[in-house]
Amino acid sequence: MKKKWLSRATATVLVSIMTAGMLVGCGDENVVSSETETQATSETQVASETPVADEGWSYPVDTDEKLSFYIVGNLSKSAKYADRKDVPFYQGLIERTGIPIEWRTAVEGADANAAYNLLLQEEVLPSIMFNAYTISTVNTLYEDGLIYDLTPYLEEYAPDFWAYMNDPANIADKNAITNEEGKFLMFPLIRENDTLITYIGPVIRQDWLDECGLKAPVTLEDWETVLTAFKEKYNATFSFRVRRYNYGGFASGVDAFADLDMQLYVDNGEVKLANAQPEWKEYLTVLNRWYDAGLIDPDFATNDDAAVRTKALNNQTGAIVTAMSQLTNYIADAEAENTGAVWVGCSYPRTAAGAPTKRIQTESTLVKATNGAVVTTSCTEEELIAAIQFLNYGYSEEGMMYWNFGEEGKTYEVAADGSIQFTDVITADEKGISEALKDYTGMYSVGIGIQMEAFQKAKNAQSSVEALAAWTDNTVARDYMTPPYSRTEEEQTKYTDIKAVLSTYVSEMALKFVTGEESLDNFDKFVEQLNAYKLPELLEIEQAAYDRYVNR
Amino acid sequence: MKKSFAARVKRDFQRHKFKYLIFIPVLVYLILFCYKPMYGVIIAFQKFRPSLGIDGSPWVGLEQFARAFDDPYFWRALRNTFTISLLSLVFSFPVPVLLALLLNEVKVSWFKRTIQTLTYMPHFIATVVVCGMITVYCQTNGLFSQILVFFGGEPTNLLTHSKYFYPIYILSTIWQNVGWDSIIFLAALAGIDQEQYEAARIDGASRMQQMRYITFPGLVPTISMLLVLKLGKVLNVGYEKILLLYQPLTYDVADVISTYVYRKGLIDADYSFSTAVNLFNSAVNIVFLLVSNRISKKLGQSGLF
Repeated sequence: MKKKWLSRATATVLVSIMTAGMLVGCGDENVVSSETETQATSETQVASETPVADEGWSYPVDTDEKLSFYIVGNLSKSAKYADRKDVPFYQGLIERTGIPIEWRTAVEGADANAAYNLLLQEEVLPSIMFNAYTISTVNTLYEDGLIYDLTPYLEEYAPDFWAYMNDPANIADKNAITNEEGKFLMFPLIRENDTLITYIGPVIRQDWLDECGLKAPVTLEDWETVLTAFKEKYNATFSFRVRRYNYGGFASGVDAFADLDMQLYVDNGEVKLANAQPEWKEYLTVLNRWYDAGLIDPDFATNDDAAVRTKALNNQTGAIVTAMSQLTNYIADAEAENTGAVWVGCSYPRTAAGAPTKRIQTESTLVKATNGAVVTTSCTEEELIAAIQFLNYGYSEEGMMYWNFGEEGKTYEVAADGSIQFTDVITADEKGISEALKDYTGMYSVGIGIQMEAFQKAKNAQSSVEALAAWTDNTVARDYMTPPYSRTEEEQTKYTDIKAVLSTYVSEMALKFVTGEESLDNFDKFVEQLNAYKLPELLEIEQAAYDRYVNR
Repeated sequence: MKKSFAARVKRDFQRHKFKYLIFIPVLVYLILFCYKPMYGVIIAFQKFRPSLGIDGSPWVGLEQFARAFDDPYFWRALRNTFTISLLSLVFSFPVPVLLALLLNEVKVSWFKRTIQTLTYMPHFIATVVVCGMITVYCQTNGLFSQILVFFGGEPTNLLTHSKYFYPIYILSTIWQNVGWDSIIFLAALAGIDQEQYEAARIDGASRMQQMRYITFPGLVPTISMLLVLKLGKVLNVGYEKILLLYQPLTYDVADVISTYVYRKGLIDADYSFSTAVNLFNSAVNIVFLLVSNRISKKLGQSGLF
């Protein structure tokens, strides 16, 4: 009798456990929450001294329009505030532009892209949307009638943005963010300088180099000497993790253009697949030799940043290709554990001393336009104008300073020599400098406007500034990167299908070539197989898109 | 005299009020999360664009399916999915049954409870943590690799070799789920009439004989039902774990339909395509479900329907 009861009880428990599991699932449905409205703090419009007839308007703008601003992605916000309306930077932004904004975003924990795609199907869209847009995605939105063509309004209502884009020096940026008809559809993030788009490179144990009596390596032969010395003396390897964005590894040492994944590049106006070139075979031959000699971390294929960091701390590696943020971690770890390790950045390998590097990790001009804000057709014309005025702010002289450094006197000071320094409000914040930057400035990762070189100088530790200088020294990598050309819809489908197969095949084979599971004698067969997987068709699509871009 | 349908329903409802009450949340769940989303399946026959929505996107017929069947990696993913599924059935499915049988024989209650708790526990560790542990243990100087070295192997990273992938995957799955999956069998065991054992003991049956002739047959209906259910999900190999454990060197054995769909659908944002593949997936699953249900009935076991 008792047993019978027990089985029923068990069944009931099971049912309730299952039901509970199901109910938990419901939470995901309501992905879009609107953050509560933010009023522009009242301020009296400062009487403008310039004649009204000439300019027409100035910041702060006198407007009654209230805009909603939807954010997908990295527009910075520290963990300290739940809502952008409470963040001092965004409060200041509203105050300075005079335009009231209601900030909206996907609820915490929801998949941001899924939420965004659901949002697009809503009847009324937010006034402004910020995302990791490229000109292709933005152009699709425009063709579907969801966003405004901004071009006719820019000269009057976004004079700073207009001036920047029409400066002949910035023609590459203009090409990157306008569509094929030359229409402006978004306000992008613009990085002022090349050093702002590189954040990965080789780092090395300077103290070991000194102990071995070796100089910082330049060519791959130098590297081999150094790595062999590290192996013999410290039993340490060369470590890295694969699959990084636009990552070239040590390929620059033989003028190859790809690490262990698929990369396209442009050589004298011709789009090529880096992995089908003899230089890449040469690169793999070197890596394979190193792997066999035990110079390369045998776990490289499964490494993540944390695994590499542990190896760095435990003296298992003396040279790494890694990101700036990781270099900072290694230095901090070495200090905390008092290991005496001295990590410094050093140059990407070169074919010879003094030769420029042709491939380093860099985001190309492309990324200047992979984040941006668009204005949706849910706006009235008055709202559209207010939105444009709001978005222009980050390109104006005053606004640029605010987006990059915050408030003069409070968060930054300009020294007599013109250099800019953050104050204690930023540097001595108990949560750390990066959190403080997110509270008081807007360009920590991406923003709307121009990210200044001076911002990075002021933000980074000396070691990072030096590493960056070493990584970007004497490079022509930009000349070989594919520009942000757009494909037609038909091209895009074909491209996606072919690319998916090719990239899977390339990354599989690359690792097999390195570990020796597949002999490099079969490289020609590998290239044949690439062709069988429709490589020529892919290159044709890319070439056509590239030519259209160049001939615009 | 046969009563009208409405009258029968009413009577049934009055009799089983609370069962209906318990069923309500399930019903709501099924409607909201299983039936309503089915509408979205039509994007498998469209070229879906989020900005145009389901109503506005252009129709393309079977183009998305053709794309999948043209892709060489689709077939590989299909083959791997079947392999992993079958290996799981053969190796992971019997273990919880065995555990339940063994636990049933344990008469010392503190020992039984301790074992149960210990075997449940891995179920509550998040997959991502489990995979993190596996990755670390499988590194060249990790625990598992070193054990292999002890038995004369070469030091190597186990996760970079295709031949180790299935053992790692299956064994860790057993470890994760054995306790949890045995609950349902223990519940079934609790339902076996104690008088049968008593009678068997009087007839002089040993414990092994009791287990063989009473306990095991008592479990068979549950086993066959779960087996049918399992076969109905033969193509649904959980993607989380594979995604966290595979990398290009093991793609040839580890890339399954769900990871393939993940790469295509989420990374390349090709929604129509991945929906088409999933639809194909479901179709295969249904075939398996129907066939295995039929076989189960033919063999004299209870089917699902």
